[in-house]
Amino acid sequence: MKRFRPLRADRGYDAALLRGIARGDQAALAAFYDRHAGWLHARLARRCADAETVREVLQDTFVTVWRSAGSYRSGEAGGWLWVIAARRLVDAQRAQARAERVVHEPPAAVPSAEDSALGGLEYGDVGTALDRLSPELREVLRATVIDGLTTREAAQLLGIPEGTVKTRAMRARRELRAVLGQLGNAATTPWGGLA
Amino acid sequence: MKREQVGPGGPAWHVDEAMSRRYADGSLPEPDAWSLEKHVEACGRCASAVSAAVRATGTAGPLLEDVRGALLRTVAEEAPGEGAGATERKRGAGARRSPLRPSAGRRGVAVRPASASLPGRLARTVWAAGPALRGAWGVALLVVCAGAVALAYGAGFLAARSVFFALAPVLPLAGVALSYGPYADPMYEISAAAPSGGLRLLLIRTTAVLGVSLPLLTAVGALLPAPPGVPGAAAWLLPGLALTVGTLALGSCTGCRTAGALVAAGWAFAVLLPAAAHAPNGAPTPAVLAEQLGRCVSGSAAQSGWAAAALCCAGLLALRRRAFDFAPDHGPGSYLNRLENS
Amino acid sequence: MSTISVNGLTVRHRRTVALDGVDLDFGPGVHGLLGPNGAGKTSLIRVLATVARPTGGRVELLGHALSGHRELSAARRRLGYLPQDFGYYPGFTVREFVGYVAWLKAMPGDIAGAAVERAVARVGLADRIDSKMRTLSGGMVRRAGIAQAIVNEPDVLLLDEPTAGLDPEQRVEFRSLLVELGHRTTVIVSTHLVEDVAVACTEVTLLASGRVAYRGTPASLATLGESDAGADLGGNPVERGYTAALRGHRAAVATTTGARR
Repeated sequence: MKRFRPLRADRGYDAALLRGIARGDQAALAAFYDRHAGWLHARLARRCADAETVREVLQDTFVTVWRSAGSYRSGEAGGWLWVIAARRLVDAQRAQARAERVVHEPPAAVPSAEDSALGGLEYGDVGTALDRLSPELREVLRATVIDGLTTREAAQLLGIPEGTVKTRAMRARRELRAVLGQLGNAATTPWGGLA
Repeated sequence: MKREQVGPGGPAWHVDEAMSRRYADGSLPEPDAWSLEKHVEACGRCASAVSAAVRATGTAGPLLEDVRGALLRTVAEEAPGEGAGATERKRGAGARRSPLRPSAGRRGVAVRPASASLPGRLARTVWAAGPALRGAWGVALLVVCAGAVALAYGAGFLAARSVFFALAPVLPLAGVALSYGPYADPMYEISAAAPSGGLRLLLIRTTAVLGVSLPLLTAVGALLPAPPGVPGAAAWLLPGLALTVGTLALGSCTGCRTAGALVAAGWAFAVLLPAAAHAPNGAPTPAVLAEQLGRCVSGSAAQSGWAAAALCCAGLLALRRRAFDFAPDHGPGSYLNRLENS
Repeated sequence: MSTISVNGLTVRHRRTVALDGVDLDFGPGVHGLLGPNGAGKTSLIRVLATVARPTGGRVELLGHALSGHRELSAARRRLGYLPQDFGYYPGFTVREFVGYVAWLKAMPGDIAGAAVERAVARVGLADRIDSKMRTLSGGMVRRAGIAQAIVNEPDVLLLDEPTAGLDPEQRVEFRSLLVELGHRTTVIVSTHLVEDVAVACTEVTLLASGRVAYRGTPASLATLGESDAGADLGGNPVERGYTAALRGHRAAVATTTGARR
């Protein structure tokens, strides 16, 4: 007896949903929302402390999905969704900064790595290395590498000048390379080419 | 995190429950969170699992439900010219647009486009009609056709043609009676709870039955030798159509099985009884049968009569269309209920 | 927030009264429908599935009053239904069977393919998806039946005796699927297995002779079983609660009938 669980059938499901959305199928949009809104909300909330902004960006993102699902071609549906959401978040932050003339406060430092579930796994060494970086450097790295933002967008998101983003990114790479060098197996990690 | 041996293209791990939960409540440390985030971009299964974990949290759960409602309202309010359709037009990707697109979305949530393209739609419809063409009826149709041809040529039975023509109009309505309804269709109960069940399904199956039987029977009729006085190969088309539509109209009151039987019996009375009355010893000879058939279907008066009958029945069917919205009270459902109430 | 609301629902079959002025409403979650044979469970499910026309009363499904053809179609798109005895075309494969229902549910063509595979995988039949229906065992046919009911990701899912024909292990798997579905969907499960209700359901409705005899949760039913009313009865607490509630209902009905005389 096989288990009652979604398995391989998930592959291609998002692409099919997006094709449905492109043709105006609201049920497909609802299904797509249920699959992705949760993680997207959590991911946005980690990057923006203001709950109201997160909510707006989340809703805007899915409205954009509804209107432009036709532009999705193939590939990672989640990645495609995140690109939309990240751009929306940057726009929202910029609008807010303009309105309030207040520099966005970087989020508080995250818990240290003692309970890292990644220890010993594929990204373990990188994880350890990242933990030794200062929160500001990590934030820049996250915006440019993980979130795929340009220098300019990262600057807008984080509320710092573009020049600072560039210097921090360089410093982060340098420090990361140094730590990974200490750990001794930078070449075997998936992010070895990062520096 | 679970390590899982997957093919070279697939990810080497998946997000486990504990990790989802900690990401959802914000307690997962940054580097782990990054790994999860990159993974979720590519893996729909984990995306769905992490989303479920976030939904289960006290703060995000209600918010997500709120945004879901607001989103669907926004989308439903957009006029058909806006939204997805407008974007498609802007992209100029007319080829991807279904010909049915203009009607889709006009009524908000309820209306969804039925299918991507016309050929795809057609193929799926034919496939859905399939059950009507399988089984006993398809076999019966082929037996009658092959039998008529074999009789006419093999046994030299020249009147095969008139017997064949007496049967031909009844075959399509037999197909209809055998393809729809609580007794004939094993999946009737499921289809009765679906938007495409009911009259729509019945019409699709009737079309399929006619689409197969009309050309086949006409072709076989044309192959048979034509003795004088027997109507031409195409003469039975209108009667056949009228009897089929009549079955549908009557079926709205009695169910298709009973209606098919009644209409077939009516046709037999109209053709065989007078033929038997004219026959010298009570058994109609092929010649008498042919003569009676000729009276029933030949000539412009008879043909326009059948055409009018077909139109009347179609009108009646249109008036009675709502009768197919629910299952009849005397279907297998009531059988179930009798079981239940025993 | 209720997705189904039923007021004064009456269903009659010729002389017999299957449902007698029932008022009920259901929201998202898994609702167990319990009751002895002949209580009206199947009649209720068939009315909610929009298969049978009620003799009297008002039924509202997902905000649609089921009065016109349009409302009916709109509700049916968002509905999943597994009949107690369901037929199939033996020559169809599982994929064709579930795909046919996806077509009946007016699902867009290119979503349907993936949705069929997903639904079949969820019931654990992925490895038999291209097998003909006639080659499947009874339990597998029932699982294919569950797959067709969830293929359109319905908002209202009606299952009439879904665990009949499943072996104990499959029943355990099925209940976990039910719990998962119940997060967002209004699931109504009619069953005569009290353990189904105890494990998987968030709410319980007990029908007896066409009336609602009891409404509560599995826990409240178990509490009833622990109380005096169920003290002398055998079985587990939920079973005792079931019997106690039935007895209580019958006693109450007898009293009112007596009083009327």
